Amino acid sequence: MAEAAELRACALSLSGPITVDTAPLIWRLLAYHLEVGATCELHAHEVVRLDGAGAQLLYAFVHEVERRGSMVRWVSASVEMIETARMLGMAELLGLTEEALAWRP
Amino acid sequence: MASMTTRIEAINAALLDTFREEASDGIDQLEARLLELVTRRDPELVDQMFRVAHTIKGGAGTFAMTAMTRVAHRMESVLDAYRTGAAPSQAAVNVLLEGADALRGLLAAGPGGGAPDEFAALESKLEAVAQRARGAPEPGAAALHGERTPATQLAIAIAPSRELFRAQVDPVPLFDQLAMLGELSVRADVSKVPAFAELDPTSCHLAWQLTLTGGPAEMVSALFGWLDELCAVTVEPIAPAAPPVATAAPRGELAAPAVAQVSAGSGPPAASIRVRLDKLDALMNLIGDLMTTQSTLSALGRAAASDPIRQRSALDELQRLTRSLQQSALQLRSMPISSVLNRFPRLVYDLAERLGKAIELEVIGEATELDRTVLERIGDPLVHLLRNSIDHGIEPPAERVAAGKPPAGQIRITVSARSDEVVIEIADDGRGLDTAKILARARERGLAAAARALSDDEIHRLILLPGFSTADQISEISGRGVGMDVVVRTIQELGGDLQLRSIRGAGSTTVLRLPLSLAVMDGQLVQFGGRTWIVPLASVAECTRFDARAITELVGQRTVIRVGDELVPVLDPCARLGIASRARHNLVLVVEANGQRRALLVDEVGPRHQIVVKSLSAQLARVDALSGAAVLGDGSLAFIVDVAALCSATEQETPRMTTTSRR
Repeated sequence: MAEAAELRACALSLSGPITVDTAPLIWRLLAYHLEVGATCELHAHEVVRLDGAGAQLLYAFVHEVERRGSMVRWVSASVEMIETARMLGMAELLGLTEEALAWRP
Repeated sequence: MASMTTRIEAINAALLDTFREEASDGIDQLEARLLELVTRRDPELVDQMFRVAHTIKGGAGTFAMTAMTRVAHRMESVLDAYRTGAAPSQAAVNVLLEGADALRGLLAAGPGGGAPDEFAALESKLEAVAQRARGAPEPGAAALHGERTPATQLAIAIAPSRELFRAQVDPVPLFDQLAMLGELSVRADVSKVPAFAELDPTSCHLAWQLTLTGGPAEMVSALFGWLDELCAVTVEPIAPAAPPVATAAPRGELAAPAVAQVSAGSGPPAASIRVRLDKLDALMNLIGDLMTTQSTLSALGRAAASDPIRQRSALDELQRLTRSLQQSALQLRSMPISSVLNRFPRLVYDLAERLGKAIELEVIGEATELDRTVLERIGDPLVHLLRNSIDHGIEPPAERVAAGKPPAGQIRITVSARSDEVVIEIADDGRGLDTAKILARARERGLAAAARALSDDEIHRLILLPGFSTADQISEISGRGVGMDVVVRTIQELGGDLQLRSIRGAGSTTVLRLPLSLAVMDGQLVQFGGRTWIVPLASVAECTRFDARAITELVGQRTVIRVGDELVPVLDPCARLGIASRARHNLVLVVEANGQRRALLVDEVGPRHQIVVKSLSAQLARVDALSGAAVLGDGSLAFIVDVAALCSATEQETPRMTTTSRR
């Protein structure tokens, strides 16, 4: 099971697997965070696994934040997450920029 | 939610079944191509094997079969190296064959079976072979390839169904596999992803367009082939590559383990067979005709005035259709014997290698179809007969040359269908049976009376007795004498027959006769003991009127009857079955099995019928003179006599006649 996404002063930490099995729970947590609003900083260096369902969920979240006039900033991302997003052709769609790639534990 | 979980598990199990079938076929193909490579250096064979290994690796990865993925990956590396370099040596082929064996075992173990590093030693061997292949050519190897043709570009469109993620299928490992074929660029189509609030996170709303430079289209199709129900995939060649929108760099390591998780409790796959479409079409047509005829009869039945001619015609048509339907259904159960024989080339190769012999195997008639039940049981007996031929029959090359034979021994397996039986012959040009040695060994063990003269055929049949072996040494391959009697018993249980022919110095032939179907057979109705019985028509040699003057009692031995020019041992089936005899034997039915004949004394001989064989209950199955039962047209039950069991009755069991006359 995914570990809980923490709400931390407009920052959101994602950890554990973000997959079809954990996506429903993460969806609820992200939905709660959307209600709070503000610029969203995502810390994802502890994500151990991402699959197609997880990537789709993150895309929907990023897109919704942008639709509301805000933006998502990836502070960090794990290697697994970056490579999977690239393999799925979704790295740019998720906004996983060089800045995020530069920060790896 | 429970029904959704059940549905996902059902989809998973179905996908695993499909993968198992296709991977099993793939491994068989891999093995067959490897054996071909020993005698035929063809670069296309290596290409074919590479594609198969690649497909197996992809599928295994999807189901978390890590050990299988690793072995397949190593084999793929070896084959990839040989695609562009020299031909594989025999040593390399042997290591790849080991790999095929490992894949087969791991496939049978299924998800969760096999520790990831269980085949570490084999992986090291494969890696060593791959490294050698990439380096200097192996001694004696010849170059197979010239310039490779420029790689083509393929446009791959993937449109998954909503169920893809819920079926635990993730596209990432599949894209990984594609990336290993060549340069891959991936573009995700997110246009159908709903707004966050409406999104069901387990439902797939993504699609992809990929561009692959370098991989053949059929490999791509094969990779996605088993996902037909979950993904619509189109693969088309394109002209010069368009600049990629997003490039996915190929991963340096194996793809991460599975994304499709199959629960450990998925259980063994349900039994299934592959059926040709034309057989199914014929069956559907018959069913359609049957329904039409049934409607006609119903209408005739409702009509105010009867029309006996039309009724008779419709009933005749119904009978014809029912018989045809039965034949069609039986044909559905039939499969070509190649499904059993296709492992023999590998068996011959391995044994010949181990024994230092050269053997050429020829198989004729492998497309001949048998009932599936017969096929399931005939494999082991055939393997045993083949091993005996290789171990005891075929001589080493030097011995063969000294005997004026070619150095390579010949084994020919011929399969042919004749009316309602199949005949399988296994013939070799080896040493033949040593009748003197067989007789001596039989007499040593008390299996043959010293004073009694035996014909060559009778001596040959001694090797079918339990525990008999003339082998001076027990080899791992054969020689324990545990086998031929089991072969005979299996053949008899299938309602078949085994005969041996051998010529010393020239070779031996084993002939098996088996029924085409165990479900239906032609039977001869007979009466004895106040009941109706069925004797398999294939076992009936002739029927003649009983003449007491023809009975001869050989003092101290068997009671025989003269039938034509032959003395045939007499068998009173009532005494054999332990039922009261009316002692009113009017007829003699001469039956034959395994080369032996018996004269059954019966009261009456009835008509011949095609019957549907029913199995006996556990209690009745212990009666060794019965092989089944059938319901007759009048609804009564008749037992089927096991002629082989009757014929193999010992001399002591053969009853004496109460009335005799001397000639």
